[in-house]
Amino acid sequence: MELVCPAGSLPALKAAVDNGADAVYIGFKDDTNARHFSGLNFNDRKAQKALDYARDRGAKIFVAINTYAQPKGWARWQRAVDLAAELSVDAVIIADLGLLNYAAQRYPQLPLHLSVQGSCTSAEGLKFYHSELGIRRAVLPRVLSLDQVKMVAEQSPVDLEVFGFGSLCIMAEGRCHLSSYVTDQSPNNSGVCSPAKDVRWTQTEEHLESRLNNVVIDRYQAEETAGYPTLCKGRFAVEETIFHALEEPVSLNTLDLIPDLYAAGIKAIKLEGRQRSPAYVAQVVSVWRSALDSFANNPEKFSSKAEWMQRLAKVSEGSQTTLGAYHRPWQ
Amino acid sequence: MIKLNPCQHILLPTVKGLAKSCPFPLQKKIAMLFLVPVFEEARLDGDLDFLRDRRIGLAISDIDYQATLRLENGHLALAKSTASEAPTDAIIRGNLSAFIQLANRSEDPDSLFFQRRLCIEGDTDLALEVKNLIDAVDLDELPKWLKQTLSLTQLVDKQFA
Amino acid sequence: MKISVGPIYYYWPKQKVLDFYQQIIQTPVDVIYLGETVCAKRRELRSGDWLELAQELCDSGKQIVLSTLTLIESRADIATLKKLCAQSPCLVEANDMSAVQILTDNNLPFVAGPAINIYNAQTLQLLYKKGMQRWVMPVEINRENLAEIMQGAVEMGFGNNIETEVFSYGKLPLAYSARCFTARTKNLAKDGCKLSCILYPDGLALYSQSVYNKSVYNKSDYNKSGCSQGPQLFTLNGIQTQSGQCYNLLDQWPLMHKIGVDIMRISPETEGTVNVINQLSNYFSGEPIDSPLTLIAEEQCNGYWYGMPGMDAVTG
Repeated sequence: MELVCPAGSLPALKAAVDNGADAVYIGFKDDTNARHFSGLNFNDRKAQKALDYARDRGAKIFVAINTYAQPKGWARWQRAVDLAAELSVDAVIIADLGLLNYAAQRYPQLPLHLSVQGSCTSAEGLKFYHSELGIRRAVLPRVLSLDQVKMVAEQSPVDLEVFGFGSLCIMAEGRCHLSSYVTDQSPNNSGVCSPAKDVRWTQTEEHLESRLNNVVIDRYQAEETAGYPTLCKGRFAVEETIFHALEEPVSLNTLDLIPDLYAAGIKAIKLEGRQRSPAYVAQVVSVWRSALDSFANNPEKFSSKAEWMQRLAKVSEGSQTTLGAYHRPWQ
Repeated sequence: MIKLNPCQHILLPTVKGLAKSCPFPLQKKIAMLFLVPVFEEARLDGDLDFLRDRRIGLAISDIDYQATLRLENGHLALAKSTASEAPTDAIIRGNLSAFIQLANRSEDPDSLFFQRRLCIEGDTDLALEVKNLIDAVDLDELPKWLKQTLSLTQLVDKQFA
Repeated sequence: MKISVGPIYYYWPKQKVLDFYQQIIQTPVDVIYLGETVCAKRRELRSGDWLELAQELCDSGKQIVLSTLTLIESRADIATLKKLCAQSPCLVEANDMSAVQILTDNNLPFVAGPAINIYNAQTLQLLYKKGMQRWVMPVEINRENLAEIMQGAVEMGFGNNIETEVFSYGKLPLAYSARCFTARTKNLAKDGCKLSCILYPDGLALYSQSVYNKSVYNKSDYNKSGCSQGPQLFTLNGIQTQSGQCYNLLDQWPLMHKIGVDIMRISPETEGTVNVINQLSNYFSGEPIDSPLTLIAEEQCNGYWYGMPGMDAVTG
């Protein structure tokens, strides 16, 4: 299975490649990608450098152009595809149907991957993207159980990539407007969830409080670990109880499932975290490289090592990991 | 809490003592010596422009140290925070060990943040941009002397890990 | 301008559903959407029942549209989808690309529901070529972008061949998850959920901590933009998360008409849906009504339409 790793900066990209990434996915420095954060991502020159660095070391570069093209900015999304094609990157990762169509018509040779933001969870949906737009791979949303992933993989006309590790979207990706309901920006319309411009942290005598556009997301006691101030992981009041009404701040970790995912025919594992630092990328990629190599060398005897799990837990949101939708209580 | 090993017992007070007793003009000179070359590529790319007219505070709690990061003639500069100046747009707060790990990239800032070892007050977007600015510095592009100095701090940092 | 009633997002007992549609066909509504769009586990009406109901209502003189499930997870979901598409006596609203694929495979026309991500005229064109007759705008799109998309469609030569529908009244469908939040609140696993969402015919209210804890809640602090923001943040409805407040664009009718919107959608609630339809219809015919933002005694919002946070209430 191919290990697809995140990079939000050139040092992160180098960390990914140096620690054994088979492919690295990056975004351009604007709202055409779903990690449109201040100071992150690649301008033309940095993208070229990234490509050179990866190519020299046998790694692939994918470019994520995975937000929905806004009507006023259509030319910007087109240019992002043009630039990726000019750089002859190994694939572009797109969610928007119109943009996929543009890329397919204009650059028939450019490999297209359907982004997780495309929310495609069935072989039937994938058939549409395959027959109409010629996608070669799709990234599955983090909503399917292992059995459901197997069923999709059996009938899928294209290769499948699944998330292996990282912050967990509990909503079907591309189908969540919680962020824009409270702020004005969402992954679909701006490439951000819980934009930092609307986040405020306040330390009071009793607790550390996070707010998003003035709405309290959570209050942490002194000993509690903090999380990203995303709406799906806050503590809210429902029926007179304050709790993580949607999800706890945890990270997805499917290291234990490597043999099952391989058996299901999954072709690539994606690690989340283009917004994270080079230190995170280095730590997570090296653990996953070791695990995948260990599995390849001796598939029957594979089991995840405690040391790997500890290293991953250390960089996890809430310092906890979960199997997410692969975990029975979700079904 | 972080457990200190014997080496840290010696190192941490030494660094803290130096930071406290060293006169600020000298601290500033030392800081500039590092800041200017480290962020030169970012400056040329226009990646420092977001700091124009903005000020960001760095507060190292355990040594009671506070400085203000801002632009001076287009270059990053560190100024001593004074009681009379207006509040900064954002503050990054943490212990010295967290700042050292942040500066030499041995620890992921988000993880430090989840663990409550770093916190952000004020304009989160500005603080995030500073974080991303630091992350984006390509160490391979730095002058040799600076690389050697940084690898020395990583040696020091191993004692903090 | 036509009026539609969207699919019922909540889990209601069968008789309540049947009674609801008997009431609705008496109103001046033009289009009625029906079907289970949220959770495949719900069993009060099975796919056969929905098909039967659709067939019955076809004689009411209203346009009937069968709506499909939004989040497709299993082969059973696909089997149901195929059955509905093949046997539907009426037009089908596709709420997932799998439905689009099945419908185009069968050369059937379709409506693209609000969960199909159409953010530009180029996407609209692709779906139009595959048989899309109407689209329901994704709820977070603002009026300027909508106008731009529709203008683009006209310039591309197909804009006049399709209809545009806007979600105009009700709790907004904001997100879909693999998890069931109603079951979670009840401390039940999803596969042992006891279909507990039937206990909440208008969903389950979720509040921010500061709002809930009245001693800390400070209204003037919360309303920094001076907008009146209601205290309920979200509404939990099984695997769906809805807005806490009722979205209300009814007073935007003249602007919608001007930019070419064809249909305004009203989303069913246990109370008041008939009233809203009647008032909107009166509004079209020029009869004066009360301030449209206070049609129902409930906190309301309209921010998305103005390019603001969805929860904001913008006046004027």
